[in-house]
Amino acid sequence: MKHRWTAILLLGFLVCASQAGALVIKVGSVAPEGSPWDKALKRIALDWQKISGGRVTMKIYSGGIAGDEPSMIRKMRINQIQAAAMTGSGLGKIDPDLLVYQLPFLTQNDQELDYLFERLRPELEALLEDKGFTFLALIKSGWLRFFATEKVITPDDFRKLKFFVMEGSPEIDQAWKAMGFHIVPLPPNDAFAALQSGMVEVFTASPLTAAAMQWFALAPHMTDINWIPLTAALIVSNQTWQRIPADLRPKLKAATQRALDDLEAEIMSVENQAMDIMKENGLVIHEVPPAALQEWEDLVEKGFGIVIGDVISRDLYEEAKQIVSEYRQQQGIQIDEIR
Amino acid sequence: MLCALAVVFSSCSLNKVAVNLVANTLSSGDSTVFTGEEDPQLVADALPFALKLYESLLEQTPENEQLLLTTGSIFTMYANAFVQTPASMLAESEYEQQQQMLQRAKKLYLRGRGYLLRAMELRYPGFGELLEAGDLEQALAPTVSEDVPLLFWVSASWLGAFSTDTFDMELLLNLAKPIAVLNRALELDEAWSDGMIHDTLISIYGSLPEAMGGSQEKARYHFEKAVEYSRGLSPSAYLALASTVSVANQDVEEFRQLLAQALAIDPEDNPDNRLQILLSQEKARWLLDHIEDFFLIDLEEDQL
Repeated sequence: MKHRWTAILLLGFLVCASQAGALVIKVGSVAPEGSPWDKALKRIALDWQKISGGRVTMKIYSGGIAGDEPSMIRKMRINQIQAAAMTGSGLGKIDPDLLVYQLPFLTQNDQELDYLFERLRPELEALLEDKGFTFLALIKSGWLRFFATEKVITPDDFRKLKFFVMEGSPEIDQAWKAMGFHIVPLPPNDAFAALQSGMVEVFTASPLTAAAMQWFALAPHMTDINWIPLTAALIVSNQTWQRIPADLRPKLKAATQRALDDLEAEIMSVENQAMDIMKENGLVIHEVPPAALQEWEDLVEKGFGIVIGDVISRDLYEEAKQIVSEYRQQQGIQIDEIR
Repeated sequence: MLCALAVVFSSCSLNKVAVNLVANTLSSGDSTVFTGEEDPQLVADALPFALKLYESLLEQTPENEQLLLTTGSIFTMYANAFVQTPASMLAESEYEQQQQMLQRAKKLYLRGRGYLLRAMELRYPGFGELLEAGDLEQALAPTVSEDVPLLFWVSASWLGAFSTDTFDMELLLNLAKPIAVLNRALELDEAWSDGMIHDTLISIYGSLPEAMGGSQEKARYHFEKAVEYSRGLSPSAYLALASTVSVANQDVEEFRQLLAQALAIDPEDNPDNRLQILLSQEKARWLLDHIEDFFLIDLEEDQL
């Protein structure tokens, strides 16, 4: 038998150690192993261990080991895991009202999103607490954009194309249909093949995803609109949070938010790299003039009017709109100037 | 005799002949002095010196393809076995050190890839340009079965670097390239090095998300082939499937069973690969000792 310098490639680097007597918090995450999100969770684990003098340790289960988001919610409820990093849409599975700050085009830049979230935060935290979870920190991870096989500026341009949407959200599908979009609901893994075959021609994705999945190669026209904010939150079950000594809790929360603020900067840097590489490889970015932006805003208001009341409470939605409007007035600038 | 030689060679060219002789001896690929070693630490301590020696020789003989292949492959192996794998076994409290080690492993992999791509360029002028342009079919078309070791190591060094930093955009967006190189090697000689190409494909298909080409079915197919070609005497195939597919499916029984199979291999049944077997078995033991890091199980309730 020939000899060989064998390689134990791509095994992953999950490492953990628990201390006897410590409160061990198992944290689920769907973020891939080695991703910026995963690294941030590991930094948080280290900070918590230091701050608590080893009394509180975290064991991170990244890459979907703890299941998808609905499964992580179930596991937190039966104490199989105690905490989870949830995407914004995952939070909506706990209570749909938690989707309110991430409606399409409601906020249109990071500053508006920050302002809205902070104003709504007490209400959202209370909603979450009623469902059995404590909110630790939020992170912004960029925005969903349109990627299409041809140039899309106005809603009419969009209506001409077949729109890939993730299957499994019939209420949201109603909203798209009300906007006149030709939707094609599919599992996410089918996106590439559907683009190749022409079954779909436009989709929304973060630049990072469009690059990583190579979708941009088939849909090289990006519309420069911040369509939906991508957020994630670290949450812990109330039961577990209450087991942590009260004097430690504010310190742990602050450390978590600090780590996630650093992560935001890292994600933006990675996303900028992805944009540069996509541009080098043929991505064209189309700016949207103010008149077309107004068309999009009017359209979204009409389309999502259908789901308000059914999916998200109308009072909360109206409150969110009012807050954004206030912010814009405070800034004393027009909508087209703040983009 | 010496005078006659002196007439034929200048001192400079004599030096070059000597260097080539040493280089060819060191890089002949027939020796099991490292791969058959029973003391991994001895190899870990010796390899940095060997690598610097190879680099010194390459300064003198930069177009020695065999030496480029040996140097690149040993950089890759060293990065993997003695930097990345130990980093993966550090405790969570040593996170910062782990990240530093992974960064170091990445640099070593990329350094190895540099030598290996140089060798490819020497064999096939224009290879690098075609690869850069993404014209993989044209770049790989002229390769033949003699190129398989080089193709394998180009791919392994590249994939190794990616595995240390999966969100390096440059590496991520070019991932199709090392995979195409590896698949070309598979096409040319799937049995090479006791099924080593199949071994590596288990990890690739088992760890990539489906949307990026991952497939448990393919991972299992390559696992069967790797076991077949190694006659069940290589633990790395068992580790690769356990660490990817079994973990993804949260199939703790399969995980344990595969690692038990890896540990049951007697290094003396495959003495030329003793080092690889011992290193893989060390990792297998670590995985079993840290099973709670990969599976949501409560060991007190779980019957071991």
